[in-house]
Amino acid sequence: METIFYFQIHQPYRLKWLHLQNSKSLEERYLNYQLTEEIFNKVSDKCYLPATNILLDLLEEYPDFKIVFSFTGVVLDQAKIFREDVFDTFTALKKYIKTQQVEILGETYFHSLSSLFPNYDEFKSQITDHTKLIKKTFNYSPSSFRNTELIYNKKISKTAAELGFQSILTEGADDINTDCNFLYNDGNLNLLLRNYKLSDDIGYRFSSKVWSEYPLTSTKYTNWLSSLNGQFSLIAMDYETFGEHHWTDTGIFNFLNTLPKQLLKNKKINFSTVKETATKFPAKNITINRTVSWADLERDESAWLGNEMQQAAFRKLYSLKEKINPHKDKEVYTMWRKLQSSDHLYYISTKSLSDQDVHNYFSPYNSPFEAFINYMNILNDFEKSYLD
Amino acid sequence: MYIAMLGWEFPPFFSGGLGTHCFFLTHTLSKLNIKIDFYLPSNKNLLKPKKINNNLTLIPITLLNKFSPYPQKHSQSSPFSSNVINYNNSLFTMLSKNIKKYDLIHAHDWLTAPSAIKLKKHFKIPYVQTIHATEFDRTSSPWDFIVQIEKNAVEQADLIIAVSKMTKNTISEKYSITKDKIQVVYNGLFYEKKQQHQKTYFSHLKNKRIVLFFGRITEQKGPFYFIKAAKKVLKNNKDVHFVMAGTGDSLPSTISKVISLNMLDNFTFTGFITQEERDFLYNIADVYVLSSTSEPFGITVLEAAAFNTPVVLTKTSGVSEVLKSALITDFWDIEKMAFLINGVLNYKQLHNFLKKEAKKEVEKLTWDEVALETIKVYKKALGE
Repeated sequence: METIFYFQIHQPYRLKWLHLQNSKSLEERYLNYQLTEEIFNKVSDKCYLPATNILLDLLEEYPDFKIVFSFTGVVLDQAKIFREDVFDTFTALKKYIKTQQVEILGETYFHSLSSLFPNYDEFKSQITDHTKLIKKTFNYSPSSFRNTELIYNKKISKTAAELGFQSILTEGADDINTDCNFLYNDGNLNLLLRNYKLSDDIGYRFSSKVWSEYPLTSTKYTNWLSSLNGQFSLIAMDYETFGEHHWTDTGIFNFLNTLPKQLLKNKKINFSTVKETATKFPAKNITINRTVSWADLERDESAWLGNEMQQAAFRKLYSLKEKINPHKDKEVYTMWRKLQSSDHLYYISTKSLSDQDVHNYFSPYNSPFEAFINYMNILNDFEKSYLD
Repeated sequence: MYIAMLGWEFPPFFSGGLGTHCFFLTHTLSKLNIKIDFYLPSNKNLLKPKKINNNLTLIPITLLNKFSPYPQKHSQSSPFSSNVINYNNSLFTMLSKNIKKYDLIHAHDWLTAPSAIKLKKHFKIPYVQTIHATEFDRTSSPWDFIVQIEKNAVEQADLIIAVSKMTKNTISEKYSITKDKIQVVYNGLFYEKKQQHQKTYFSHLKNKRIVLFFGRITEQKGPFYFIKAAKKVLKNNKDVHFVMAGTGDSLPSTISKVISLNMLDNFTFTGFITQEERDFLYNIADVYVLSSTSEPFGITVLEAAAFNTPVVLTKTSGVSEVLKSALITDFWDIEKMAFLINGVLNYKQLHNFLKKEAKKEVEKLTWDEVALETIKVYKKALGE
C-alpha cells in the first residue's frame, strides 16, 4: 500500500479597503502589502519554517520518506519578497527532488478560478507561467497537476493533458461512488482521488477534544492506514495545518515528526509520490460528470460561486479579460491576475451564515457582505481607472 | 398558571414599544393557557376591568394626575416621577387587598418595579422582571432616581428577562447581578402580510433612492452618526435621499447639522408619523439604518426587514445578535456605515440577497417563540 502525503502552500495578496485610501499607484491602490506581509511572517514562523525543517530532516535521514508539495506562484513570490529565509528553506527541497523523494505539483500561478472561465486562454497561461516558475525555483518540471482547491472536471483534465501533464488530483467525494484508494483514468489523464476522511482526521480533527478518536497518535494513524485495502491512499491538506490551524501546543509537530517514522516501520506501507503511483498501477476507467472540489460539504464549486453575489463578482472579474492586453500592459494584467485568487470569492460565501466557521476562519472581513462590497469596489475602480 | 402582570401601557391605551410588547406577549401567553391580569393606569376609555379573552383581563388603576409617558426633566419633583410613584402606590394598595391567588408577579422595566417588590414580599410569590432597556441605554447621563429603582428591581427579582445578551451584560455589569439570574428572550415580530398600499404618502420621494432612519431622534439613536455617514454616501451616490422619520429632543440640532453640512436638499424630516406612513416608508426605502449608540433590542430593524428592506445596523444593538443577514458596523465608524450603505445602493445582488434572507430570518422570530421562552422562565421561577 502506497501512501502519498501532499501539502498545499498558498497565501493570497490581501486587499485594501478601497474607500479608505487614495493612492494612485496601481499596486498600492488595491493590494495591502503590509497585511499580506504580516500574515506571511506569522504563518512562516508558526508553520512554514518549523514544518519544513522537520520534513527536511526526515528526508535527509530516511531515503524512503517521500513527500509532495504544491506551491502557488503567489506564495513563492511572497516568500521571495518578504522572507528570504523561508524561500531558502523551500528551495532546500531541491536536493530531494533530485533523489525523487520530493515531487512538486503543477497548478495555476495565482490560485485562480480561471478553470471556470468560459474561455481557457487565461487558465492555460497561468499553468504555463507556474510551470516556468517551478522550473526556475526548483529546477523541476511538474508532471502531475492539481487545480485550485482540487477543482476538477473533464474539461480541466483535458486541458491539463494538452499541456503535457500525466496525472491529475481531485477529491474522493462520496457521490463519485468509487474507492478512492485505487488509480483511475478519465480518458485524458490518470486520476488520483484524495482520501478525505483520513486527510481531515489530521487537517480538521487533530486538535478537536470532542472527537472520539482524540488524541490522535502516530501509532493509531499508522494502524488506520495499514488496514486500508487498495493501491494507495492520498492524504492531502493545507500545509498551514501544521502550526497554524493546529497550534504547536496541540502536539501537531510531534505528530508530523513521528508519523513518518512509524509508517516507515510498518511493512505494509511505502511512501510514494503522485508521479510514481500514477505509473505503478493499472488504471480503471472513470467518468465524473460534475465539477468536483475539496471545499465545503458539497465538494463542488459552491464555496466560490454559491450565491448571487459571488456569481456577479466572478462575472465582473471575467468581463475585464477582454479589456486587457497581456502583452501590452503587463502591470495591469498582473493586477487582474492577482485579483483572481479564489480566496477573494471564498470570503463572500454565505453558506449558512450562522455556521460558516471555516469561511470565517480564513476571512479578513467581518462578513461576506463587506467582502463582496470591497471586492466589487476594487474591480469597478480597476476597470474605470485602468481599463476604460 | 395565574400571572399578575404590572404594566404601564397597552394599545390602544397609549402605545409605545413597551405597550406593543405587552400586547403581543399577553395575547400569545393567553392562547397558551396562561391566565393573566394585566394592570395599567386608567384612562377615560378604560375605567373598569376589560376582559380581552378567557385568560386575559385588563385592569385599570386610578391615578390622581395626568401623566406623561417620558420623563420631562431630570428631577424627582417632576410630574412624571411623582406619577410613577403614585401609580406604584395605587397598584400595591389595590393588589394587596386582592383576594386573587396569583402564582407570580411579572413587571416590565423600572416603571412598575417598586410595587412588584412590595407585592412579592406581601404575597410571598416569585417576581419576574423584564428589562427592555436600562437607564444606561436610555441616556448618557443616567437619572439616579431611576437607577436606584432599577437596581432594586434586578436585585429583588427572582429571575430577570433581558431582551438581548447586550442588555443582559449591561444589567450584570451595572448592577452586579449574577448572569445565572438573567435569561435572554429576544423580541418577536408580529408579522402580518400587508396589502399593497392604496395611499401614497410623501409624494416628493417618488422614484428616489431612499435611506431611512426611523425612531426617536435622540442621542441614543445616533442621529449625528447617521448624518455624518450620509455626507459620505453622497460623495458616491449624489442622488440619494435621506428620510429621518420621528421626533425627539435632538431633532432641532439634527436639522441644524444637516443644514450646516449643506445637505438639506437630500433630506426629509417627517416629524411624528402614523403606523401607515411608517409602513409606507419601510416599503419604499432602499436601505434602513439603525445608528443607535445603545439599543437594547431594536424591533424596527425586524420591521424593516419584514418589508423587504435591507438593514444597516450598529453592533451596539440587541437585534444584531439575532439577525445574520444584515450589515453591521460600529456606531462611531462613519466610514464603514457609509461603505455599507453605498454597498447596498450600488450592488443589486447584495440588496437582493439581504432582503430575501433577512425576511426568511424574521419570519422565524415569532411571538409564539417569545411566549414559550417566557413560560420557561415562569416555570423556573416557580421551581417547576
